[in-house]
Amino acid sequence: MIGFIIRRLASMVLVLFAVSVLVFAIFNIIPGGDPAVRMAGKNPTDVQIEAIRKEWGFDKPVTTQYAKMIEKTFDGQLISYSNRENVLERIKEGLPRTLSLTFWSSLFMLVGGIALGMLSALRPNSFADRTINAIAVVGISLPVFWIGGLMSYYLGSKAGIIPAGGYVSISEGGVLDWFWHLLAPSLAISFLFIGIYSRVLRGDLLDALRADYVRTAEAKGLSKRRVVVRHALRNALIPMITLWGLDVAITLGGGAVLTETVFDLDGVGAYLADSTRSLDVPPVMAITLLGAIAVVVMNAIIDILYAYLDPRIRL
Amino acid sequence: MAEATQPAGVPASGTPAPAATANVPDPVAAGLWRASWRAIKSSWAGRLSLLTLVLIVASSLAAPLWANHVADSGPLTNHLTDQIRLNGELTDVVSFEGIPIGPTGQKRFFLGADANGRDIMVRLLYGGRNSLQISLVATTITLLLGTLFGLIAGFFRGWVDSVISRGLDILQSTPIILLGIALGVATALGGINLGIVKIPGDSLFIPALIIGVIQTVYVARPLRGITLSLRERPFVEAARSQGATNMRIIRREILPNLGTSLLVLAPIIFAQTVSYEAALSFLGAGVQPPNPSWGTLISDGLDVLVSAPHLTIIPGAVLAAMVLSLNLLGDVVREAIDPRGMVAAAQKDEH
Repeated sequence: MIGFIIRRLASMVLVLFAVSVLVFAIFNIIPGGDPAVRMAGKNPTDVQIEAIRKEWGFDKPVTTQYAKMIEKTFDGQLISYSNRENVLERIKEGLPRTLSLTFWSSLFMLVGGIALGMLSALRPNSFADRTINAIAVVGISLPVFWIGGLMSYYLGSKAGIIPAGGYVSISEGGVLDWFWHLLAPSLAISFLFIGIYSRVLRGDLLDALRADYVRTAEAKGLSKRRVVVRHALRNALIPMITLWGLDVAITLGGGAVLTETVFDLDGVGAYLADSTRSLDVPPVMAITLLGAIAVVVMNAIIDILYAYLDPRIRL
Repeated sequence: MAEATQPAGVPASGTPAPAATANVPDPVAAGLWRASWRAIKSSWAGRLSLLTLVLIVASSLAAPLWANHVADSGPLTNHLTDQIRLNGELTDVVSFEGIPIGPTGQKRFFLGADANGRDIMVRLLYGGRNSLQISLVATTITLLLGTLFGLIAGFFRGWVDSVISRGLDILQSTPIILLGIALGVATALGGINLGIVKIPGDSLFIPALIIGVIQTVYVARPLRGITLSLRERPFVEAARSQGATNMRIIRREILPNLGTSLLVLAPIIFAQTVSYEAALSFLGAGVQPPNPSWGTLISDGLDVLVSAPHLTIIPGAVLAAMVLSLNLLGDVVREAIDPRGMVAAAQKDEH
């Protein structure tokens, strides 16, 4: 097990390096004009551009430029040139909001995915199964920024059923108000993923129910519920949970750009959206890098957890 | 054809069985289109989605017709200071207070105007045109690149496979939406300059290229798995024993057998592409203003949701209908030509 963890962490470090090179390449190597001009934002002066060129080492070799990018991203000195905001500070401000959104949406996704997936698999091709399938297709087809925007206006501002958007922290409004403000955006995100998860789980659970060990369990006279929950479901859950883990990491790393924007949550994703709209490069670069890191690290954690749960993986 | 009917012969000259064991859909390439068409025709979901697709595509193609002959205004033409005759009265297109005219139901400003006095109907049609053009180019790029990398990695294996697979790993460990945004922001100002070819930052080709490239993984992965197991099939063995070169085997034996997978993947990839295009344009990292696209139209619409909800609802509904139809068509086609879900399996057990 120790050996596996060391190997997995080593490969994680390699991938982290590769991902950082990828982000660097996007902003520095793609030929499309002067990177200093790009960094400077929409209406820079010549003096600013020159200063940025010096600061980021754009007149130096690529290796120096790469080192500069990493240094600037992590030492907390990264500044947006459009509005002089400290990027890392701003990300830290948004993080609790994004974390809260991730918490509730991942909970909904997991519970909803398992419930609907089981419902489908236990009665394949039934009315319920076909309805869930239809919901899944609609879920992956509806643009979240459209449905979210409409939800926040019609159910929020207009009907007053849910808050129209915004974030209330636990210390400000208590747990209930905190949850109440996150309900609609979490549901909007989960709607998409519940559909995908339920389909994935349905397939794997159907496979598992046909497996020999399930027949053995049934032959032993175990109750249907025990066979499904303790034997089949446990194995069938693995692929779904893997997907779930990655999606949680993506939401955490600012991937809920669209949802955070339309529900005015002002987390990391919304910050990314604002910066994108003003073509403000430093925050976009930092969030892409941090988001990728979150996903890579999460990936490693999932793998190690599985290796712990399922000894076959350690081989 | 003779190659395919040759007896299987002895196992390959020392080549071990491949590690990946993805099953390969049956090679019925000739009947693929016919089988898909029959399935689409015989299910109401298939017919309805095909009809929706045709309607959306046709109306987008007809954008210049509407613009020139009905609305008499281009997608970027401002009418800030113009007046039109509405119910016999001259009305400002954009009022003194800056409020644009609502849906007129007439030829001009059928769906009303936006804050710049541009004809929304014209912009919607052109927006669809832009979105579809980008998605079509991007899907083509994804399918070509994905087939190329998947085929090369699966066929040649060894270090070529390692390099390509690790590259795909890295691409996949970055959240795709973040990757798209980063690329969009990086290229929006200066465009892409490759020396000989220079693409300006506001070109539609840039989002097409970005979306095309970032989705490569979704095609390359399953095709690599399928190629890995195809290359061990007896008919490849037979061709090789007759002295066929690698190029010939790839062209004549492997490529035709990837048809099913490509046909199953194409509508889903197309649907995803349309979604990504809308999302990136919505965020400002795709189609650059003032060019319209479904994404930018929704983004503009949400700003005036209170006064003019139809500006959000209509482009979003068209976008959703487009993506939904493509996904449904994808489902129908997959069930018809890949009933055992082998392409999906190859997508899943890939490492």
